[in-house]
Amino acid sequence: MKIQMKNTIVALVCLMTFTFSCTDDFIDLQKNPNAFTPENVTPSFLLADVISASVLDPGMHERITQLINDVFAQYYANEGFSTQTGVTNDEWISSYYASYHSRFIANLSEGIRLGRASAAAGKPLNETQIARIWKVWVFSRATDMWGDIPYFGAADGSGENPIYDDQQDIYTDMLKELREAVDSLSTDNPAQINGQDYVYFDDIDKWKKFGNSLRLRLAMRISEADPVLAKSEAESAIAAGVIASADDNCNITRTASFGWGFAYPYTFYYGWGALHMSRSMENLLTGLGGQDIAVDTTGMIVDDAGFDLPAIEHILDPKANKFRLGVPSVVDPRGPIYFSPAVGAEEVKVATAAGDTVIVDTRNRWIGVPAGLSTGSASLAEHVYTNVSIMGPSMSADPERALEILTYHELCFLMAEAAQRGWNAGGTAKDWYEAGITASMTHHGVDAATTAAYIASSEGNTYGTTVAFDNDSGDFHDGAAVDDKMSKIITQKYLALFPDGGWEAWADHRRLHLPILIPMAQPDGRYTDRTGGPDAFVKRVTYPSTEEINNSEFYNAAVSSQGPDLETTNVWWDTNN
Amino acid sequence: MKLKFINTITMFTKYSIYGLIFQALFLNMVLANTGRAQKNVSVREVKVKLNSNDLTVNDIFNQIEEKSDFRFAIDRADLESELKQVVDIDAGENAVSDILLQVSKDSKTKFRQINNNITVSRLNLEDTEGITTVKQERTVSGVVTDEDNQGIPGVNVILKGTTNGSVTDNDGNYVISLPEQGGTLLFSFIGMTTQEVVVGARSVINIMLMQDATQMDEIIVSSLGIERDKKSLGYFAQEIKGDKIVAARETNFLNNLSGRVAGVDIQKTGNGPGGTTGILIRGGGGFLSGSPGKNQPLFVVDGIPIDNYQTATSTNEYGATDNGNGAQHINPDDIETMTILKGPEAAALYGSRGMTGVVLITTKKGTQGKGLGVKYSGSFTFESPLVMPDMQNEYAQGANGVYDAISTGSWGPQITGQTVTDWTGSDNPLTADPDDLANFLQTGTNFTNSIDVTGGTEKATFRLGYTNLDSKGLIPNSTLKRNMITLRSTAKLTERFKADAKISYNNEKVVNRPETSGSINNIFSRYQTRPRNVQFNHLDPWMAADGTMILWSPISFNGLRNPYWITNEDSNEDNTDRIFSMVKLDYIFAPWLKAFARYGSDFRSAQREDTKAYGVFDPGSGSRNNGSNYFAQNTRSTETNIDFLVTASKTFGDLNIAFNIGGNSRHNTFFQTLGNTGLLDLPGVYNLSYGSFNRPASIKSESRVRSLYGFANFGFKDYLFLDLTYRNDWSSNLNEDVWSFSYPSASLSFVLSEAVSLPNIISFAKVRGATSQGASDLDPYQLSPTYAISRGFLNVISTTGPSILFDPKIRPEFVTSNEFGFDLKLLNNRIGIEWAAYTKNITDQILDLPVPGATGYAFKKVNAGEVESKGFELMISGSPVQTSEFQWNIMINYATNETKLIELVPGVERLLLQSDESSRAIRIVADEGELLGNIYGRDYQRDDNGSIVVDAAGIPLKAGDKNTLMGNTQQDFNMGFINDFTYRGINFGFLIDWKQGGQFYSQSMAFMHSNGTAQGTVSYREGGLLVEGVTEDGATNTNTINAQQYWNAVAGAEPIVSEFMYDATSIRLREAYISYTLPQSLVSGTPFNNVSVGITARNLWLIKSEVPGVDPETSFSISNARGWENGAFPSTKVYGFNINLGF
Repeated sequence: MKIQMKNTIVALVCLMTFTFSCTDDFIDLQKNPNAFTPENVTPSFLLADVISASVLDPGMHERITQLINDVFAQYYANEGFSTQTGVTNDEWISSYYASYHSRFIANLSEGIRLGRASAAAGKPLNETQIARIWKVWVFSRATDMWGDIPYFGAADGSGENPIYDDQQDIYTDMLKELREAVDSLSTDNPAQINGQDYVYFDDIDKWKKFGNSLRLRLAMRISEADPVLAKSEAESAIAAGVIASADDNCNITRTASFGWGFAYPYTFYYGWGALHMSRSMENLLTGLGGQDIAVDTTGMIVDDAGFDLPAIEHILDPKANKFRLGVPSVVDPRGPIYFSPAVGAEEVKVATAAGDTVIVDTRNRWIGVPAGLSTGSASLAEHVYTNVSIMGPSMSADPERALEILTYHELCFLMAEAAQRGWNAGGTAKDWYEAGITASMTHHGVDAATTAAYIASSEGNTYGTTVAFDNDSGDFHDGAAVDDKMSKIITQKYLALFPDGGWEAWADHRRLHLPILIPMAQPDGRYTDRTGGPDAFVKRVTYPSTEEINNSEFYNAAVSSQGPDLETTNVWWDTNN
Repeated sequence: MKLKFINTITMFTKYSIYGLIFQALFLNMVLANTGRAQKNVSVREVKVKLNSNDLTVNDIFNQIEEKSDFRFAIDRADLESELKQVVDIDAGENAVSDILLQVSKDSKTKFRQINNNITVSRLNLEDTEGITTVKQERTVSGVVTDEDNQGIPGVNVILKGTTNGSVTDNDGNYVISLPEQGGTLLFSFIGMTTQEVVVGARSVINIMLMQDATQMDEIIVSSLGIERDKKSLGYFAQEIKGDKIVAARETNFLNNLSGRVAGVDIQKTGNGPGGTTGILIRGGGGFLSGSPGKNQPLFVVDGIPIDNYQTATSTNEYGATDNGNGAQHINPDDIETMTILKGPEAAALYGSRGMTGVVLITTKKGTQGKGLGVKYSGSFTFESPLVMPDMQNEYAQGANGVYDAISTGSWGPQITGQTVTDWTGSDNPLTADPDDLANFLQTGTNFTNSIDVTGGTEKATFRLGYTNLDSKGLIPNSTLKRNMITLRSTAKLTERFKADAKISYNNEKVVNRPETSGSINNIFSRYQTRPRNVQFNHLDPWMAADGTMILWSPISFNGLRNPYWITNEDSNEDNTDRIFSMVKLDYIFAPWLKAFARYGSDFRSAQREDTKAYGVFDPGSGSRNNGSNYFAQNTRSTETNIDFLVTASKTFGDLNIAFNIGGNSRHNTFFQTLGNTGLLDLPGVYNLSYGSFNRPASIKSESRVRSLYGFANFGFKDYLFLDLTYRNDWSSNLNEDVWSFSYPSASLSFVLSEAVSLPNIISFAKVRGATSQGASDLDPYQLSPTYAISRGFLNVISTTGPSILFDPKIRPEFVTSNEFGFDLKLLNNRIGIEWAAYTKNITDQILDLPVPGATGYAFKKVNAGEVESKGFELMISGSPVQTSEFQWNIMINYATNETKLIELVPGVERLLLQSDESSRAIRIVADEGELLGNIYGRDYQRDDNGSIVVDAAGIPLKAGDKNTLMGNTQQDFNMGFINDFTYRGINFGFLIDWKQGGQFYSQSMAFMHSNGTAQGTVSYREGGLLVEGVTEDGATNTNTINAQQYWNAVAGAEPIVSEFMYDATSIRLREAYISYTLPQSLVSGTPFNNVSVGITARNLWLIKSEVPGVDPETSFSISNARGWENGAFPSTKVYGFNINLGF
């Protein structure tokens, strides 16, 4: 009896010991039932996600496109964040930097690797080449913001931390990548499955044109830093075939029906009460092209001379420190489309220069707001968003509007600039310039007659820049001619690329100091140049502060090579000081 | 690893050295102590050796007590001078009777021996010798029983006012002689409440003595549910009785623990009824990353772990609903006792999940042989706001002092009753209403009805408990309902074989949980910024004839909602079913060998729906479905545990040894399906099939952890106890090479008062020390990369790679804890002191370490870093007044904890714990070498002298970065002060809860100030505010500004954080109650055998707080974002009454 019990216990303990320490089923349990292993993935799955994500969801689009690029380009002003006084916001940058790498570059690189592996097995894939082109586009936006960035070793799958590469090397390689990728694209290659290509719907010709046009854009970017390479790359790209009409535009479909992240992003900020026209934009549009304002001005104040405000705006602004009501009588036909008159209020108290308080009716005020106001000045009645013009509803309220990556009108202005520089652009600067204006007007539904009259007009804007290519007003602003050919081309490009071209507009202003933008009125102390020179403007954005902590060795190397990690340091292609 | 082990040993040695010193000092005395196994013998037969000549009476009594089994019954206060009397006596061995005769002679006292008790009293003149015979005129007899009707041997029965006494025999029977006139009998026994009974004419008096609540219950439920003698524990365990938890109820019973246990910090969130309550034991773990709630303790009910799943940790500043935490589905009415295992011991035997402490709950069961008992208790409480936002009521909507019907600010004109054309388009007088919010809110009600039926024979017991909670929230149309039913039965199948089984079914249905933080559906955050003249009742009706939402600011359709739309059109509902089951079989193989096997499961099935109604008009696109959505989710989650334990125990002389071997097999499964509709096509029907984007999703996971453990308890002579444990886990979530890991613990308890003779003032003294390790794995599927493939945008197949670089060889993380402390009871147990100091180090943490973006990953999983928590805990209990009619008990809990980041990864000195993604205000980080939870934010722009820089207009400028240290979230100390008074049948008590220190940021205040709704924005509306500072060129500022300019500049979305940082110190009257138990004389003749009624209140009075209009306790998250408030639900006071009926 006793022995039997002992045996039972021993047996039980053994059985339990075995049961409670067994691991036979663990390997099976470790297989994640919710997701696929890398073998299941084809490049086009990765490409499809990156293309939509890299044009940025409304949250990131607001921070990176609108509050950084658009604000620095002065498409808008008085957006209520530090960037309005030229200080980049570390958190925005950090979140973009992280997702640009880990979502965009990492996935494109992975797609290219997978595509090449599959090509080695006898199936060259167009999606590999498209991924290369798109990767250049994503990289180009990043290097234009920061300058030197990790490029060659970035997100190469090793998990290793790469060094920062020189922007010059990056540009050289990007131009090469575009050339090679376009050359490798072929209708003989298998198409992407399942209609995965929602950009050009497997039209390989259009992808080639986009690749070449992007090469032209990047070649133009280095026009001042490396004119020789710029010219050869531009001419080679043009010869290979660029976007030839609006049909070839690279647009990314936006739609509200897939929820957050897919609607036209500006429609969100409209709801958040932002998107105020900048004073620079107002000055550039007002008077340009001699066309009467296309709004019913009955009962409105027209061309109000205004009264004096306390002097806080920039002295270079011809309309500085004036409180004006109503609308201008003559304005670029796109002006009232881009920006609607203020909602305003019947009674608004405004403090005058004389120290009085005047009560005014700010409804229907078509007016821009100076860039670079301090937080306090920005909240003055004359500058708050209800009392200034905000983005027009055809853009701000159309969630189905496609987001433009590279359009025919941009291409026309690139060609005009190329021709103006004496490069072979297959046409004259004037032809391309006028084609660009026409394409832009058509794009916004301006009728042909108005467009023709506009193109022929020699009426200048606030500074004296006119439209007619052969006209020269002879005016100067801040010591510089305002109506030379290049000023005309870049002014029109600036206007035509609104609203999705803020990235280009800021880059052009850094590259050429064109068009005329009013320096920030009350910028942060890091802007020691308070005149109208290039140094009065934002030159780049700072690296994420996490880099200094997580990646100090390579970060310090980049800073010593490029210059202090400040908004006032030039990137390589920006030779404008 | 080796180093760590050495460290552990070092720490252990350090703490146990004190213990060894004590031992060495008192060893002689311990050994000198002769055997005590004397039966009742006469004073004449026992000899005692006195160790010196000329001792005082007191010394002699102590020596006799120490060296024999005799105990003196003595009124020390009355005989104070006698006790000091020096007795002329020689050292050496004497019969006790001889000693006492000499004492009697010298100190004029007399003695009477009853069994081993010797009563002492003053010698009267008529007494001729030390022992007299009282004149017997009549006798009274009876039996003294305990609450279980068992006779109590050894109870002192004394005729009050005399030395005449008796003692009960082994069956509790007594006989006492009394004078003819009778008198009052005193029945006293250690651990029981002393009772007085007037004899009157009775000759038989039977009496039941009750457990004395003021005496610490010596038996405590420890790890694995094993009942241990508290004195044998080498660590600080605190127990709470179930009745304390239900005395003044809250919907989440964890709130009832606040202030009750030293070292347990209850984190109430501002997320409304049914919202999460966090509980941090010794500051939580200090885990820097990992699954939400990892710093929360493990809940174990009757040996079965309960999933305390977390929902509030996923909320952020954008807000969401807080669906509470899993532990609140435990029915507080079922709870018999709760033991909080705070440190080493918890980790040692509960493994991974016990590393942050264990809340061990033992539920009620029927009592053997007690027959049928039925109890009913009802609690009816009402809830209203305690702290309301501090709003101004003087200025209206607008800007720059001018009324503006579309403005979202309150910077308009002073309200003087003027008539304006308001947002509705009609002319109305301007008003502001201080009671606006209060009028919108309703009084919340919580009705709890609970029935408890128990029964028991000698062979079997059962208990059926049912509780219904019906709660209406402060916000109209929000309700919470719970039904909880538990059936438990035990059976003694044979003398050797026992079975215990339990099943609980809990259902919770919550309708319209409030949305938190920055959600546009958060009624409070929208109220805080709404212009003061736009009042709640102006927004009713909320719907236009065409079904669209009426909004006072139509252009803000993206950021604002009509509150009545939220309560009437938008909705959310969740329905949770949980079944807890347990079966335990005990078998006694031999008196020294027993074993049990147990199966337990926690099953959860939950449905959630969330509707954002169709009808919000977007004037831009003309669509009416802005922001609309329908969300539905089904979750099924299970955890099953099978465990066994074999215990062998034996006594060898003075040594008692128990060996235990146990095992546990845990299996977790989780399956969730969910879907969103996207923008709705049509109003009225909310179904996953209708909408712009309705692709479902599912999530599944499964894991197993198996464990074996052994532990040994050694007890020497009832005063020295050593526990050793060792556990090995095998986890399916780890790689094969490391999925087996083990960890040990040791604890030592030395009961000084049992081992040596201590001064009389000390009735109990013990020192204890413990050291242990615990280890933890990670969540499933974190070893190799996977791609989630989906069909999303435009129906294309898309995927994105992982943003975390996994390390397939990731190792478990380790916690090493050390604890040292003592327990003291003074003045006959009237004062109790328990103290513990501890350290807890988590090393090799499994961290999601941020890596440079250019690697292609956002994080890398690594084993790195060390976090140390240390602190001490003190519990003092006392009974200042303790008479038979009136008892006053006090308990003070005090605890400190500091959790510090010792090191991170070489080259990395800071880890972001919680950031505001929209990059507005603050960051909460862990800095190497500093306390966790540093809050960084934006300061003023300052010059080199630290002066604020203003712009040309005199408006202060903000710093470019937000890297100014603003404070730390950790508290200095927590203190609970409990008072309990009993006078006859009346019980009154209150609890004061004091949380000292820690800073928090109030985003509400920032928004209220930028919108001009805060009371603080009233001054300087007309200008005249001179900011003390300098202009950018260094000149002293002379320009005055007005309040709008100032607050627009410093408050709002990107505020100067220092303006809105507050000290989180709060002192509050957490609980107060009064109850009355009807005397038996009133109850007899009714169907009831016990009736009590009471009034209770919770959170009644915020005695001290630094923050105007915000309760410092209302963070929106229990994660690392505590210390950050945004649009909190007002904290509430709860008051009501309860009734308990026993049949």
